Amino acid sequence: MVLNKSMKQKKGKSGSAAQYLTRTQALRKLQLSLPEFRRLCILKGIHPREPRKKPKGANKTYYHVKDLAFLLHEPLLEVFRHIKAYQRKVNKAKAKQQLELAEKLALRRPQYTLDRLVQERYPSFVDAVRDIDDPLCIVNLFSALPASKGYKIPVDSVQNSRRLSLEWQAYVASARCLTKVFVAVKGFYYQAEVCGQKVTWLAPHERSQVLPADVDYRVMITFLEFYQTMLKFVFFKLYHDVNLKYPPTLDAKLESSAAGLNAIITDGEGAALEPEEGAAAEAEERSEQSKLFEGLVFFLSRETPKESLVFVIKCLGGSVGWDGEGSTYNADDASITHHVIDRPKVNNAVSGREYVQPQWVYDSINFGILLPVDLYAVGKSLPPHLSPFVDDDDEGYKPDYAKFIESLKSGEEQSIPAMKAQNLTREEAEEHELAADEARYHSELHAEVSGKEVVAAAPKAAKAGEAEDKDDQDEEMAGMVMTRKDRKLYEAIQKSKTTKRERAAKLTEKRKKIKTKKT
Amino acid sequence: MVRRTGKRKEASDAVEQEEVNVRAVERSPSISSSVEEEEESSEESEIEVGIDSGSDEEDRSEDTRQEVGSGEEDEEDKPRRSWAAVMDSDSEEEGSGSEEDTSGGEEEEFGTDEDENEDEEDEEEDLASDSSEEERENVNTIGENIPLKWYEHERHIGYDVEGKRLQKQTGENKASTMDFFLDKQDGTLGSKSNKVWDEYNQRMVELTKEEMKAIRRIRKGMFPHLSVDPFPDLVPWATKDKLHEPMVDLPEPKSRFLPSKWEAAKVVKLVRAMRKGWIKPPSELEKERKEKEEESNKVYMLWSDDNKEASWKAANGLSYVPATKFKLPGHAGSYNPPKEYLEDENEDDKDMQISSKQSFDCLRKVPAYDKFVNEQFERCLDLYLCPRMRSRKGNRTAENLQRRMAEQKAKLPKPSELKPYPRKLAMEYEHDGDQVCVNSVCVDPSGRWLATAADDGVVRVFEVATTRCVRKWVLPASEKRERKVTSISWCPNGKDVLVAVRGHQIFALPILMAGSQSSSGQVLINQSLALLAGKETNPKAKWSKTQVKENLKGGAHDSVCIDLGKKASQCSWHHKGDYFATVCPSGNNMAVLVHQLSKCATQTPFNKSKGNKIVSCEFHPSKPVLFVASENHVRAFHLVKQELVAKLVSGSGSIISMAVHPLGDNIIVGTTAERVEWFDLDLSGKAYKVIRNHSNTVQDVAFHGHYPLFASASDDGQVHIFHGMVYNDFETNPLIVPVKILKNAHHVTGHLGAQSCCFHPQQPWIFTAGADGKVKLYVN
Repeated sequence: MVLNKSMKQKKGKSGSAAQYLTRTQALRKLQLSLPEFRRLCILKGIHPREPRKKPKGANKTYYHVKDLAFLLHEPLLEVFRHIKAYQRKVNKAKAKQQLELAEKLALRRPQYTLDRLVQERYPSFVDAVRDIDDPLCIVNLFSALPASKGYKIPVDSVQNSRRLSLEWQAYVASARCLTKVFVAVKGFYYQAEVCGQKVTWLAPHERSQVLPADVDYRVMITFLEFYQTMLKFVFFKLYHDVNLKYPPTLDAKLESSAAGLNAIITDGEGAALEPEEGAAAEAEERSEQSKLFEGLVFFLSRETPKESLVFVIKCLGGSVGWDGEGSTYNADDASITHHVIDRPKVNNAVSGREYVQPQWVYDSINFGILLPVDLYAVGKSLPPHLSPFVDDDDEGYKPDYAKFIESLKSGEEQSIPAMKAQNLTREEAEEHELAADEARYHSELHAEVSGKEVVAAAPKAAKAGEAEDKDDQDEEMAGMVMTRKDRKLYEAIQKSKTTKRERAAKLTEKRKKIKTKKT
Repeated sequence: MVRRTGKRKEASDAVEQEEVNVRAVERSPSISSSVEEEEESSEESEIEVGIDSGSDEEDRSEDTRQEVGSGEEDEEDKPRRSWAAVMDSDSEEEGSGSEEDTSGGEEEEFGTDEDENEDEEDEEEDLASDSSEEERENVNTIGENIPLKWYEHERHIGYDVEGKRLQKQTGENKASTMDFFLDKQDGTLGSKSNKVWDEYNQRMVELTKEEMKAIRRIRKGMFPHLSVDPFPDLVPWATKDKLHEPMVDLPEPKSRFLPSKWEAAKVVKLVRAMRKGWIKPPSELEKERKEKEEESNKVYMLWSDDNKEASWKAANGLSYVPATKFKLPGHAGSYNPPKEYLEDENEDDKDMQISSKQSFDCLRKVPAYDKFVNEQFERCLDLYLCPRMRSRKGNRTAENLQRRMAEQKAKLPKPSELKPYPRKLAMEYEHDGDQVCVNSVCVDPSGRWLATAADDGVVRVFEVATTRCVRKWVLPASEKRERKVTSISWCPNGKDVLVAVRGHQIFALPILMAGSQSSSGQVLINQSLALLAGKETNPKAKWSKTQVKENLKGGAHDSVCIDLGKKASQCSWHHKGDYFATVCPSGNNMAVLVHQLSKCATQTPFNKSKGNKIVSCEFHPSKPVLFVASENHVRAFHLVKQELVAKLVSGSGSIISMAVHPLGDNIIVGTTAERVEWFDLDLSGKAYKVIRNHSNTVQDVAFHGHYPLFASASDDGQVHIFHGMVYNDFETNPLIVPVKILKNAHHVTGHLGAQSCCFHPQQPWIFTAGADGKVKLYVN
């Protein structure tokens, strides 16, 4: 259809040209400087979007006009302008040596709160919990950072971060919802299940952090500002739900002696852990795991990561003492069952307690059983620490140790004496198991490489070759009449499958090589 | 006193100073008695010089004196004045005695050579004489800016008011050198006297005692005037002691007794501010501050609704895209990973998922992660800088695709429902020459015989049911040594005539002829040969009679040979079995020729070249329409109306092969771009369906005569069978379902795989021929 001249659409009046603005255009529209805009975006949770067509070129960032309108009507914008004007006044007074005036002005700094923003960004509580990972990471990071005037990291934000991270630990410990722990090179990864959401966070190792100069701390502080407010309200609700008072009291003395979690005194405990009726079975199963350390008393040596261990053990119902101030147990307490120690040898061992390396605690949590202590004995070279976040079956490669634990678990389920026997001749049993596994694994791999789908290894192989071939052809023929989009997708999936397979093959080969080198 | 401009003085200052020194040295013996002996020798020489220079010296000395005088004044003026200012406060009664004392003390401090007495004397004299210089007035009129040098050789110096020359006073001293000499000898003039010649004013000047003293002091590097004290004592003005009398004895002004008006205004302002609460006492301020803090720290139940569903819409109405969660570490991220995850030194493994660089044997050895802050910062940057989009990865799972494929399958009928179609390999037709490429296969309309065209120039005939080779026609050698038979086509009207294309030549063979028995084909060919005998040959296509040998049964038979002059590639019969068309790709307007066997005639349907490089042509099964496939298009020409009926555009690659559906409304083409394209003439000029099934050039495509089947043979060695249903109603589009892939139908030899395919005229069987020299039959 030929359009009239009057009917002709003008450029930039509809579609993505009208719906999206570049960042520079946005700044002009909002009359903000870049740092102000950034700050507002961070607080409001506005991010660039990817328009289908990019009217101003591919190398620009685009914001949706609705997002910008949202920023434009933000009352905080006005407050920021006031603060800017106020800051100018203070600077002027200081420059004129009118210190009295400056002091007086300091009391009149415009105040603002971010509660409204939290509610706006997270209309329901689940939303907030879903997005809680990053706040926890940042708060944990800042609680480990030194306050610095040069980088403008204020003391109270560090203290507040520390407090919030302890509060979160206290909640997780009292709700007993920790599911996984992983000690990585980067730090401690924890995973907990809160309100049906998997919350993962990363805490740095308990070492002093160096502030790198190539980081813009203003950005991080802005994030921290919002996150602190958000966490405060989330924690309030979480504490409220388990009948605890928020904010909990922080024992200043214990906190100053780095007692970690023990410094938090949660009030109104007791009726805390009543599982809901709906999720009774699930909760029961979970609580089974969360009672792993119940009745056990741990003692932590000086060199162990105390904060992490205290938190983790408390989450699973154990009680902890440590070498230092504020400890509930002394080193020579008779009730101690496990002594967590990270030294080459024990000097004066006390009988009646197990001496284990810290990894035992973490691995036990991840595998859900109390692992044999002798594997983690003091001075022994440790078994590998495996990531609980990997689905080995999905990856197609299972490390030896995971297989061993699996066999241990199944043995445990069948009969306890069997496990003992296995324990005694563990090495041999492991070898046998491994050999069998390897053989099966190879056959599977072969099948996979030849393009067959492996679900159950043995029974399928017996099937007639024709049928399989048929299936295969079906897929291929379906591929012929697929749309281009589907075909691309199909190819991508095939590719990812092959890379996984290759990776697994490489690992297997490496493992074999290592084994032969040993023997 | 001579007044000179500062400019000149400054310029000559250094010189003057030196002159003064010289003069002083000259005079020293007469002036001071206590001069060190060392100076003596230099003195004498100086004197001599003085004598030699004569009057000049005198002039200079005079000049110097004045200079010194002026210098004195200029230099001493300030110090003396300040001194005076300082001394003003001192009571005048104290007198000069005390003054002398202080100065004398000073002299001592500076460690001068002179003894005190002399100094004291000087002091007195100095005090007495002050106006000796002022007495001598300037008489020179030349002015300050005119150097004396200009009048050196003149007898006059300057002019008076009336403009008359003022004569130099030469007579007095200078003119008579004798006088000068005598004076000198007397000691009245020169270095020993106190008289100097003032060149400027042209007169003799007698220096006073004070002046002499000043010169002497200058010589010693002291201030010429005694009264100058370079380091005066500090007189404290403001002391802690209260003065008995006020310094200023004025009555207090009234304003000091009256209350300030401005102060009152200020007070009023403050009072008002306080009343209105603008100014608060510090305690209240503190309280307020605390309240504010509490207010900002207040925590309350923000989400009153319990466990509402997660929302996917932001407050501004746009969809909420949560940030992707950070990646969780695998085994390789562990502080103590399994050994196989450790990176080898010699291995350049970039896969971060399975290789880690660090491993620690116990937890206490794990250091702080140095990039922790940087990584968190980067994450922050990602959160606010990265454009977010709802990921399509959700659809990207294998299950999802499988589901969709299943849906598609459910929509399409299953291959098993579309039986019959060729599935199993039934027969293989052996070619005796090993690895001879079979270019074309063709089945006779009854379905009993199969003809194949091979590279060795032999047309073989097999019995379909038994795979027995029944005939072997060796085409006669051509002049151009062409051997490859590229295309064969069996006459569709039941007569055993077969057309074979070999290079420039087209042969029409009585294909089933054996021995001396006559066949329908032989009859037909004989008829046309008879016609040919009395006919002139067409220059475009030379019809001739040849004997073609048949190897198996023996004997040679008459057959028709048409020489086209250009290399032909393909032939196809009209459904009535009288006409057949041939294609010469390089023939321009002669590319497509239509031959009539019964009349031995050749027609050129097109005057102009139709498209570049014609590839294939086919007759419409029922209408007088000819389909001509060039590299990019398929054109349908109405032969009676002589017009273009349809033009079909191939979307990809260049067309290699074409087949026409038995109903005539659908065409499939095979292209070099590994695709088979289905054109529906009723729909549009573009392909209705493009099937990208092969991995190499599609060499041949074929339709089944009455089953809804079609097939494609490709250089990847595969033959694909499709169900291609064409409906009679105009509403339903053709249904295309792949039903069978004949994998490894032919081995790929020299980039060539399956070369040709052909359906059995009655059965759902397919014959395929390949470059590996095999012809296979697949049956249902």
